[in-house]
Amino acid sequence: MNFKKKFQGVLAETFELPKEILLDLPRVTIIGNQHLYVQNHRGIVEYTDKIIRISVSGGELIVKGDKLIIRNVFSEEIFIEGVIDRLNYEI
Amino acid sequence: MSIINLWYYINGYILISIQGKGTERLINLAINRGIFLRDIRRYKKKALMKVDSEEFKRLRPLVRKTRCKVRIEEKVGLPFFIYRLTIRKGFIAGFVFFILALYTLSSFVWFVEIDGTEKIDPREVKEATRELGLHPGVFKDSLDLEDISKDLVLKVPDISWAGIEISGTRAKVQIIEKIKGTEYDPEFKSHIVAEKDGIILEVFVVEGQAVVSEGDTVSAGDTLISGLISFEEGEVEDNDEPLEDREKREMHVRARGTVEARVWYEGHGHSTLLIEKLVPTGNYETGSFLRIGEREIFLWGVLENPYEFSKKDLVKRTFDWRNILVPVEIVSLRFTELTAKKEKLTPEEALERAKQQALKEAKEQIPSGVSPDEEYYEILETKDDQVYKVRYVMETIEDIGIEQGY
Repeated sequence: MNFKKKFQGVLAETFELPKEILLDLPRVTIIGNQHLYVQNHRGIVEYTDKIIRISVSGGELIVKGDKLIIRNVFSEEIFIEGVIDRLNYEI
Repeated sequence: MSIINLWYYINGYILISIQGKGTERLINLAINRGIFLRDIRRYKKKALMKVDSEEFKRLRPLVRKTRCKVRIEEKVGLPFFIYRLTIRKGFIAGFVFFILALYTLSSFVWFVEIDGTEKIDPREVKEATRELGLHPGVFKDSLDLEDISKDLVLKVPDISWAGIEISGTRAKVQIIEKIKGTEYDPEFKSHIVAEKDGIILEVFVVEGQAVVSEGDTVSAGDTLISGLISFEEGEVEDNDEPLEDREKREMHVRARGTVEARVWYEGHGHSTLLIEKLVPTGNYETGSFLRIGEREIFLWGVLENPYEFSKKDLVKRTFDWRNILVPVEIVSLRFTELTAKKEKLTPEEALERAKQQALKEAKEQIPSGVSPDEEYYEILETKDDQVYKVRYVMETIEDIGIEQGY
């Protein structure tokens, strides 16, 4: 398994392929402290207006802030709006 | 974003609130099933979100699975709005009635306007159109506008053309009146006579017999083209009837034609070397009053002329706005005192003054639309060398013939 991951990483680098597709990693786009896009997520673990925990491959992405709203949510993509303070990875 | 919101509004969506521990699980399940959730927000313990009205039905089994409490908070959008309207039958009935009333009432003629009347009384035309079937309250489609306008011309003798146009509930009758004299009247006989003095340049006869010829001098009132045509003896080819009446050798017609003539206009002017001129002394008085309609209200100053010689200037200030006439205006008066002052002119100046005066007098007599063909002036000799006299002559070429019935 470890060897496979490594091989994929080398493959992505040599052929300049986007890593999030080959390695199944989340792609996080953050605009200021107001908008947050997470692509390639695995679902919502916890949602309150202060904290949102999003399950991603190999761990969790924790968004902390205030007045957090999930504007849109699709099976691959999630769009959060609000005042974002912190962004943590728990792997 | 707003266009998307409009789309959501047209499709209709439901605002739901979810309560319970499995809220996140419900959201995840919904995503996996392809149920589109929007604007998820926390409100105390509840999670509020928007979901399409169709997709809400598919959410139901998931709710049971996750043991959440789901409540519909609000139904938003056009489909729900229309549904609510259909429940209010009285409103729908009123609306349909309104549309029908608007439609039926607009298919009648409610106003008849007469346009283009000058000499004819519009009421007379209105009465005629009423008799022909065009009157307020008549059904629009039942009118044959061409027939009515044709009949209207026949019914009112002084109309030469009539056109009816319907715009909305307003029928506009456009009328063109007959111009007197242009209509053909076989009984009408006339001569063409001179309007003013002049020398004939050209006679062009359309009908009738020319009495004058080129080079003739005529004075006002002379007959130029006669409507009475008399045949000379022998000119009548049919000589088989020698006992022909004299009347038979005469023909009465309506004379027509143009007579171009050279016409003079004279003006006289004179000037002395010593003239009196009115010059302002520098004193003046001002005043002002307010005019409302016919009424005049004194504001301040003097309104009557306080001097022996004076010039009066009026300045009116109106309060018109665009095309709206406001019948209120402020009138300011200014009386400037004048005094007579003797001035000595050079002979050239005096001559020029006399000439200008004569020119002005001559020019005033020329009818508008005619420009002088030739103009010249002569200095008239006077016994007094202090006085200069000028005669100014302007020559024009114009049609001096006017029609005169007999």
